[in-house]
Amino acid sequence: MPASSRNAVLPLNTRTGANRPMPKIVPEPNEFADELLDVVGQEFRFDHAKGLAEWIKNSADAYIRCGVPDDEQVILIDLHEANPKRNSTFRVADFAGMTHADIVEAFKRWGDPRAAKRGTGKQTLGGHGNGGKFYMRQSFNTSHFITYKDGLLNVYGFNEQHRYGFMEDHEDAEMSLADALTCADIDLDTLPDEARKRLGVSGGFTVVVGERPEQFSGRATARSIIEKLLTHPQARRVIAHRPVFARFGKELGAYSSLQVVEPESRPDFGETQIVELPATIVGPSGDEHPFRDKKYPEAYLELRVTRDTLRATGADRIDIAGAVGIIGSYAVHELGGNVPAAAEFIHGECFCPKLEDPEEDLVKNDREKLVEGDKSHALLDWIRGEVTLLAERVAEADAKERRAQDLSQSSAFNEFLNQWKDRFMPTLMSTLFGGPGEGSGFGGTGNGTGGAGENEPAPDGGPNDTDTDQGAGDQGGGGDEERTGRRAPRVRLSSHDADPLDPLGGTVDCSPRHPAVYQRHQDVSEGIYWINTSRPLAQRILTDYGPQGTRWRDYMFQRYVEIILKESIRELERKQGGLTADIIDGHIDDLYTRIHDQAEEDLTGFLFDEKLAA
Amino acid sequence: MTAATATKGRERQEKILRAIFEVAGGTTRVCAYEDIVVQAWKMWPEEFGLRGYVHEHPDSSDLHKPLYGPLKREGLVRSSNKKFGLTDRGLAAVERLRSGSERRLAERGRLERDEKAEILRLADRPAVRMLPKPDELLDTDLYDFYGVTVRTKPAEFAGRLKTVDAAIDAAVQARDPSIELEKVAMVVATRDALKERYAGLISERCAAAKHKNRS
Repeated sequence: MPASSRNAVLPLNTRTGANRPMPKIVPEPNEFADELLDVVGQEFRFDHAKGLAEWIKNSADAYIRCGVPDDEQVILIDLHEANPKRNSTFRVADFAGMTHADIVEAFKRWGDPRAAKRGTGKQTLGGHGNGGKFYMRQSFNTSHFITYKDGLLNVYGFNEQHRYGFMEDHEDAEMSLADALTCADIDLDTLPDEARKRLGVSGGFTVVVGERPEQFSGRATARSIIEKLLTHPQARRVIAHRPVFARFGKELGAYSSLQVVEPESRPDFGETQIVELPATIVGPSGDEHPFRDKKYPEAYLELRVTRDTLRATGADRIDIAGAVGIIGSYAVHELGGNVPAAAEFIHGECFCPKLEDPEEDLVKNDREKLVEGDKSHALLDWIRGEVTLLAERVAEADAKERRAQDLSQSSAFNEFLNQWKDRFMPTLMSTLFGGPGEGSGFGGTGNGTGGAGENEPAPDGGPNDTDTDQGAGDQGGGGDEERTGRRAPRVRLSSHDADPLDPLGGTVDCSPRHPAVYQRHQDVSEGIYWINTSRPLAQRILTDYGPQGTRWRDYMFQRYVEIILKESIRELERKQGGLTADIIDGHIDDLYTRIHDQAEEDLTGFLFDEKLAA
Repeated sequence: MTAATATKGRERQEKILRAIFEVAGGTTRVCAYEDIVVQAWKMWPEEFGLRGYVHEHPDSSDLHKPLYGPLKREGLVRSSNKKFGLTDRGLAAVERLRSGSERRLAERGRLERDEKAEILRLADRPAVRMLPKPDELLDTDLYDFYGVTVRTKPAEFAGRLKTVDAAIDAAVQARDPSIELEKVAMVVATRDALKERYAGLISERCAAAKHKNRS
């Protein structure tokens, strides 16, 4: 074979280089076997709450296209539980109505992302025009909708073989509204006022009906479907902002208005936490992905903390919101990686319309999850980080609350020690530093003021040498008269006792790094000391031996000893000055001996009785 | 206050420091107020003598305010129970005065002994280790860093602030080869973080020191 002929028959894909000819394809319309719908439809084997959410979204979109305001978009849900249950019927009605053209040009087409908008340019809740249709097709034995608009009635639906089409003799059938309502089995008398009013304005309606529902047996009930619908991410917003009514059960009574109930917020986390999304986030593969830009400048995450766990209801999730509706939803444990257990009290919404950018659309057909990939993982990782941070704060608050409860008993013990100290300390100090009139400075109340006296180094009343910033002078100078001195120390338990300096009575939380006995700047002049219950040793004793045990009582007693020692050393320096190691050493021996002797006399029960109750 | 008055005041303070130095034998030992009064009068009778009797009697009132005021706030003296002693910084200041060397060692690439000791102490503080998480710095870290407590008196608090800050600034200036520069950098960063976090507390306490001295 000549070389030129061989070249001419080479397969196209073996040719390389710039001279490779582009294949010239003559485009033809796609052709699909109906079975393709069964394949795709597997994804839409809905639970009924999800399917009903699609139907009410379609109703809302019908109203949006007609320009009906949200608060007039009446939607009715009927879930009739038959006996046997497999013969039940589910219906959703709105009062917008569709024309024959709407059905043929929009409803009939599968997978049309323009279906919901239908050229109106309005922001609608619907996506690819599949959800509601597939629910009709896959989840019922037969289904249809009856729609009436401009005096014409159309009935369109799916038969037992899942094939769709108009109902015989019900294509653009001319009839009165009253006849159409009868045909659709709508009883005007049972309609809520809002529905009658809307019907009066529009003169049209659509009722979508599913007969003999799949997966509706056993313990499933119409009530449980409605309850689930109220928390469903695709339905919550629609129901929250529109008049949606439902009746359900074996006997359909009057319609009741559906209300979305927000889970009760935890009081100490009452405010919604709003975090702006970074403009870009680096994904696991190292690529940087944009989440905000000029076209989509807004993107943020809202997180809320509830009083009760949301795990049982599945509401512990983050909904991903596009410009109008929810485009994905993730339970907190689905965000990837581990999240703290406290995350089951967290729910929220991540508003990020950039995810709907046609250039990088991450919205899936069923709007349950985002399209898998580096960008969605980057977003979910970031959300998980924020959820984790908040969950850690919740866990910390829980631990604090537990500690406070544990310390209730300790508070009574502390009060006992406070009283003992108040009785014992003035005597101790006067013994160590001289009796009344020697100005021990303890046991009195109120800030002393400095004046002339022995404590003054100069007779002209110059600057004083005080412990406080408030200009209080050295208390208890020498002389015959006992002066008011610094307040007797008041000892409080951190994270439990009310702060005497806080008019609202809040507690003082110490860090585990704060000393075992802690004073804030403002505590000094008031003689307030805090036993730091957050110290690791304190926590260990409380955890392992409990707040009632003798070990904890002994720990508290030791802190009192520490406070008395601190106070006495200050006094020693004030009285004696020029402290040396020997002086301090001797002072500690003397002080501890006295404290321990007194404790042995007064505190035996407190320190040794295991069964002592506060 | 005029410049001349300020200079005169400064000279008087230096004389008091030198008097304490003499009484304490060139150490940081504390001395009785009365001993300092007498020593200052012996060294400068015209300045510290009782008016009309300058060579017969000392006047104790002239030493009182500088000791409790600027000298304490500057971190040059410490006091307790009517006794006063030079701090390490005060001792170094007197040694410089006595040697007539106005130029500090820091300007020659070395730190004073007291400054070096201060920097080495600071480099070991827990606050320095907390630096990666400045939000977790505590008030007690501030006190520990400056070598004070929550009960340190306002003037002494202000004095310690001055002393520690001066040592840090000197270390930055000197780049003393006997101290790792990285350590100095960590100390500086810690100081800045603490001062930013506790600016309110610091200014309140320093203001109290000034207020007390004026009243």
